[in-house]
Amino acid sequence: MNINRRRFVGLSAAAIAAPSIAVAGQSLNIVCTVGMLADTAKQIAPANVTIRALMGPGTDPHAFRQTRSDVVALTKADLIIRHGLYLEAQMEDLFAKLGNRKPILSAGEAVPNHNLLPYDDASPQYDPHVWMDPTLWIHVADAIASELSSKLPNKSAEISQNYASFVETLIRLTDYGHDILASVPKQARVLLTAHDAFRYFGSAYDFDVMGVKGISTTSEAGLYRIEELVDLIIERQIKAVFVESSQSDRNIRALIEGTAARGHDLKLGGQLFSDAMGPAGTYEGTYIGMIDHNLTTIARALGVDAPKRGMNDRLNV
Amino acid sequence: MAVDAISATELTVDYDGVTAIKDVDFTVRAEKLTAIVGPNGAGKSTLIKALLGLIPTSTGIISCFGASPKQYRKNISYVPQRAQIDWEFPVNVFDVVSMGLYGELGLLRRFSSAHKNRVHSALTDVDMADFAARQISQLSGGQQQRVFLARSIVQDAELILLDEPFGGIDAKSETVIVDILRRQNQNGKSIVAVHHDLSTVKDYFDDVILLNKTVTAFGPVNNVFTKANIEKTYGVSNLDFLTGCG
Amino acid sequence: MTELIGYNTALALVGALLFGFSSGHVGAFVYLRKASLLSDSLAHATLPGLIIGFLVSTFLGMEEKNSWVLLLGAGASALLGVVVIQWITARTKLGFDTAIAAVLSVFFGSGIVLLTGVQSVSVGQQAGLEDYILGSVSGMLLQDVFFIGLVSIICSAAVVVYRRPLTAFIFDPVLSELAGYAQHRMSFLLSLLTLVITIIGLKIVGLILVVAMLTIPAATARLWSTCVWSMSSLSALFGSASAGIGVIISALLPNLPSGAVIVVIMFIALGLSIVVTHLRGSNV
Repeated sequence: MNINRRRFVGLSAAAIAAPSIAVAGQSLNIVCTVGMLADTAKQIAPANVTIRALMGPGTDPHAFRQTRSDVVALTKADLIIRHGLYLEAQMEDLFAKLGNRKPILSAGEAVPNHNLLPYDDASPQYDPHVWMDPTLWIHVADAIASELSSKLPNKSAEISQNYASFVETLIRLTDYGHDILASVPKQARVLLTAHDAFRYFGSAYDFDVMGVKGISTTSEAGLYRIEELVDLIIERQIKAVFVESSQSDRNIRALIEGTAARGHDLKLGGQLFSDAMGPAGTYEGTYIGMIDHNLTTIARALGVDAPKRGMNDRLNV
Repeated sequence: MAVDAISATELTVDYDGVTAIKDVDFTVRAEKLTAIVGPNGAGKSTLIKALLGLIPTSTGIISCFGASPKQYRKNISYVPQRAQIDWEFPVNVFDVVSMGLYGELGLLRRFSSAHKNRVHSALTDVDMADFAARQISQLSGGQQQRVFLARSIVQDAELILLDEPFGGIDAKSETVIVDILRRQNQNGKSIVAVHHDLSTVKDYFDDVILLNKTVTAFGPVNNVFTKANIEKTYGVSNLDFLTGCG
Repeated sequence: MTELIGYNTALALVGALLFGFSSGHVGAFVYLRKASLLSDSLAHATLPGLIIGFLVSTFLGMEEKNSWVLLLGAGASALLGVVVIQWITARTKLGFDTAIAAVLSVFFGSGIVLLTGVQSVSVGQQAGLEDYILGSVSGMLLQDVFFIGLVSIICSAAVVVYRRPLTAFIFDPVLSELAGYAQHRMSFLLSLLTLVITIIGLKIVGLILVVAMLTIPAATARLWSTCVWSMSSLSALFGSASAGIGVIISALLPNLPSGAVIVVIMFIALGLSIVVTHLRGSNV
């Protein structure tokens, strides 16, 4: 975790020295794809920067199809921030075309390759769900901060300040997660969700993760997969399973019924935010809140007496 | 032979915005063989549909044996034009004739051996008993027509309406069918047929209705089937080739 | 697999067997009526209603994406589609085929627009809607099977009870009318049965493939039968068997969408039947 301050200061110095792309009136119109990016940008950006996300709470980015008004918003933006790593799979062509005319920051790709997990054995792609590990998200925040500084050089001090405080919270969040999950015994460190979005969580906190659907949500889970998971749940005595805000809960309910038929009481551990944050305007509707909610919900479902209202005592329960 | 088989008064039917038949008046005598003749577009099909109660009339009254067609429905049987039937339908001769009993049987009454006998008897009447298990797609034109006649017979309806029963049938079959109709008539059935062949009207039928949007004339063939009436109905002259006329 | 057949597979199997049976049953009469295209149009017309039902259930604060409301919406918009088709055919110069094509594309297209619009309303979980387009057997729950099973049995029973008037109506509508079964009532009955089968089929094979359930077993049965009763019974059996085999295969092999497998099985059965009856010299 020694990327941060030194590199950042260096970058911003370079940005100031280089011919800056000064935007008239010192305001910036940023359009992001997913909400996590928009919230992160909001935490770091100075005032009078407008930031919006194309995908709202509960929207599945794997399946998102842009409308005409989305495209218009993108063409009017001063800066586009997308996640990349094929998260916004349906928008690849659009971004390829826009890239010739607009500055596009693929923030997710700021994470170094050696920190990325592979998509699966067959393909060269990476699993895009990097936001699940706050330490990896620091790279993303860094990239956003750099880009903002280069666009608004005379706000770079403010940006740097916001960035620093945001990173501090990310570190605190990571430590909080380690703290509350420390007491979960090895064999209980299993996370089963609607789709395979939590591998970075798994690698950061030493959990086995399984999703009913794969990394991308666009295909049916299949009966075979359901039966396979029922066997696994019983074999490993998994206590809780989790639904996701952006996914249908039918498969999870099918698992609960299937395991109940074999006498195993699989509980619904709660709803996690996987590909999208919580409702706008709430604490869970921010990146920090989203991760806080996930960590707290998982820990409590596994029997840990974690604080009900989470790290900042702000979760809605 | 009291009540008329059909009585139509001032019948007008508007269909698709066009007046198909207007101010039609006629009676069909019971227990007779009556032909309806007229050129294409004369409204013969419309008249039949109205008689069956399938389309509403704009004005006028129809009665069958003194009752309205809707009350009288179960006592009318209809033999459709062969072109209107789906001959590839999975059904055999026996099944087609059995359908004549559906009105009686309702939804769930069992098809008993008594019913089977009636079907066989009707098939025998039309000389098609050997074909009972044959798919209708494998019948000749004449055979098809006889099967539908058998269906009417099994219904035992007092009025049989036929739509161009001799269309596309060979001469021998035609003779056979005429015989069947005459026999049914002798059993007390009233027969009404839309007929296209003017040269056989006098041979086959007792009465005739000449129709071209309105009724030109109706009544016993000897009185009514005159050269003048025919020419008036068809709007042509020079019909001397029709024997026994005028 | 530690057991021969797991609970989830057993559930899916029962639902599929019953649904396949009744869709084959109803499908036989749809086939004879030559209304297969109409049933496809009806299936596609469910999409806008599904989404509106989804929006209604969400905004009414119903926690679970309450499938009753969605199916009700689907039924309503399909019914509207049927009404529009009949209106176009009766009141304009456009033919039946044109009416079907128009309703299919306009309704389905509106549905896609709504679907894309829903994602920006950001109420979430619209991924569940895609289950109805392509089907999702993996998420079958006990309550789903009860519903599907009950409705399937009712539809099959209706077909059996009304087999005579339906047969007469399709073969000779005038006869049916004279026998006391009005044409418009029989036509409505058949449309209603088609609609109900479509609705319950949404969860299993999805709206795109439901037409296959109503068409292929019937076509296969037609090759083997010479009377309506045996044709409809065979169609029911083919539909049921294909659905059952499809579910079993998708449970035994990974990554197979059950709905599609079922349709492939039905198609294989049809292909084999065509070959066998052709070689045999069909006398049908």
